[in-house]
Amino acid sequence: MEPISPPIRRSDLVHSEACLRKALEELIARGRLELTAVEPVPPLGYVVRPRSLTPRLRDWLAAQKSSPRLWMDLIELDELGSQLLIAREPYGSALGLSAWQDVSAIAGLLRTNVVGPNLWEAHKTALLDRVVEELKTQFDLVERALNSSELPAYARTDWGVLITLKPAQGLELFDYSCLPAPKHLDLPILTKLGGFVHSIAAFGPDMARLGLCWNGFEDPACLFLQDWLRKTHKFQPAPARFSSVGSHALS
Amino acid sequence: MTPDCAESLFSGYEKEIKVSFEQRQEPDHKTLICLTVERRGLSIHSDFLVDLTACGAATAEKVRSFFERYQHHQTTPLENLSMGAWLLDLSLTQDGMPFQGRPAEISKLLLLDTSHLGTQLAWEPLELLTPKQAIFEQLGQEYLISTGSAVLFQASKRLPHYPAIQQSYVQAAETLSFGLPEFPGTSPAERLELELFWLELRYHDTAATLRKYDSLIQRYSADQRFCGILADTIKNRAKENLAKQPLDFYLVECWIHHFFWGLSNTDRIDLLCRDYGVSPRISERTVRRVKKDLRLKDWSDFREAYPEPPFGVKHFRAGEHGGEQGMYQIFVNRPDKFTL
Repeated sequence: MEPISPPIRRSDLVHSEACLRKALEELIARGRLELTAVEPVPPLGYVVRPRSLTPRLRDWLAAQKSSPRLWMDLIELDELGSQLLIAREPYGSALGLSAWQDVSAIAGLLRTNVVGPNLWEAHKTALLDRVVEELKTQFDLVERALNSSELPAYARTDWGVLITLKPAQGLELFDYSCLPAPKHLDLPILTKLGGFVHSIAAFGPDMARLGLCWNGFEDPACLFLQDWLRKTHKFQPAPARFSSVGSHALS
Repeated sequence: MTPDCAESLFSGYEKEIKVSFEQRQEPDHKTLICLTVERRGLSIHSDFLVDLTACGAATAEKVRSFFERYQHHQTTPLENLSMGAWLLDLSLTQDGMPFQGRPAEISKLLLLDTSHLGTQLAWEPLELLTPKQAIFEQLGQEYLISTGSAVLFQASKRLPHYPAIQQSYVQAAETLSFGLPEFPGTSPAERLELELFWLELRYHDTAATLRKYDSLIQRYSADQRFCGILADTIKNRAKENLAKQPLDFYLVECWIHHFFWGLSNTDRIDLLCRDYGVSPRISERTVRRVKKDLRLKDWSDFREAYPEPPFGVKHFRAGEHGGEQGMYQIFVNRPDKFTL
């Protein structure tokens, strides 16, 4: 085996790559999946769209320790951190397999390309409320007035829904939504969640805010949060700038 | 504007908007009008002064006669609404407000336009609509979300004559048949009730519909044909209706939410072909005829406000703006010209 010379790269982590491939093969075998159901998404991992889940795969998934994420469940498969994401509705309609470093990217891909469109078809204009309901349960949100300072809370606005949390809960929310950790806390962070739902996150010193809105309402939502950040941070961020979390398109 | 000509402008709104007045003579020949407008649980109160002596003896007499009849409950809701609009217009004119600004102000004060009341971007609440309107509103909301054009849609509501155009759409929606089962009722009122029942049973919440129409179901519970249709309608809910809809359905669906009222016939045909697979050979004359049959109003009915269509369609080539072939965007055509 060749010695690793600095700087260390992802491609040097050969065992992680091998584990991921092993996990994929195990999944194919347990689910008796056709190979056409597997879509490699280099360099992130694999997206699997089984026609149905075999009882064997279903039992195996049920036996794993999973943690809930937005619209999906996450399972850590091995000691090298291979991650398996499973769509919750309909259960197992899509699965994503990736190394731990790529879990937010593969989750974004699943949400925007598979799970989001499925949920839109199922819920249509009720989807936004469904997202709020899910976050409400997860973070004990209480509906309050828009200008209420009590936390955690959510309020209806003219562009969508505004969720207000403590800063630590804000980071938890990022983790729950499988979003990459924010790099610039002085700017609103716009993310396309999927199913025509967008999220805009903003972090102040005392609270974190997350706007949820439909496609087309990002501008008023971003302006609202930008305005709030300007007041909270006591400086003016450059107009029309915001961090954006992109997603890779499925080939 | 005169009190008479205002009636044609507000026809149809009187079913929803209730206007009530109080008037008192003030010094300097001025009359203080206290106007209360109510619409769908919203209420707005305006006090304003008008100088009736400045608008000619005949008109002043008409107003005096109106208030006399109003006090004896002899005026119709439409008359009240149009008189309210006329008095507001007169007051704003006498205050020196330019013509361009008056229609918007009157629309707000009469609750024809409620966008200023903090619900600027809110959807039309479905429970306040008739079942047919609710179906089109639902389809419209889905279109606006999927295309991201909800903000433009809200802005379009502030264009001149939108209330009249929207009203024509609401009336046209009510005339569509939706291919409902034919089951004869004993009276026109019952036929209407049956029509709404089948419609709600097919497209709305089943349990709620069954609860709502319990008395109707009880009445026909011994009728085998009725029970058969009821069972079939519930069964067919799961089946997606892939049959193409007739042109009138598409026109009503697209009229408001797809901005068809403000597009040229060429653009309408183009979008109908792209979005619904309607034959591209359909002629402008056919679209005009269906529009006329449905009594839909569009920009061309208000040429003084719209010398040309207020909206246009921009097509994108493949890859442009990261999109695919066939993508398009609706834009406002020379907005300065149409802004109130």
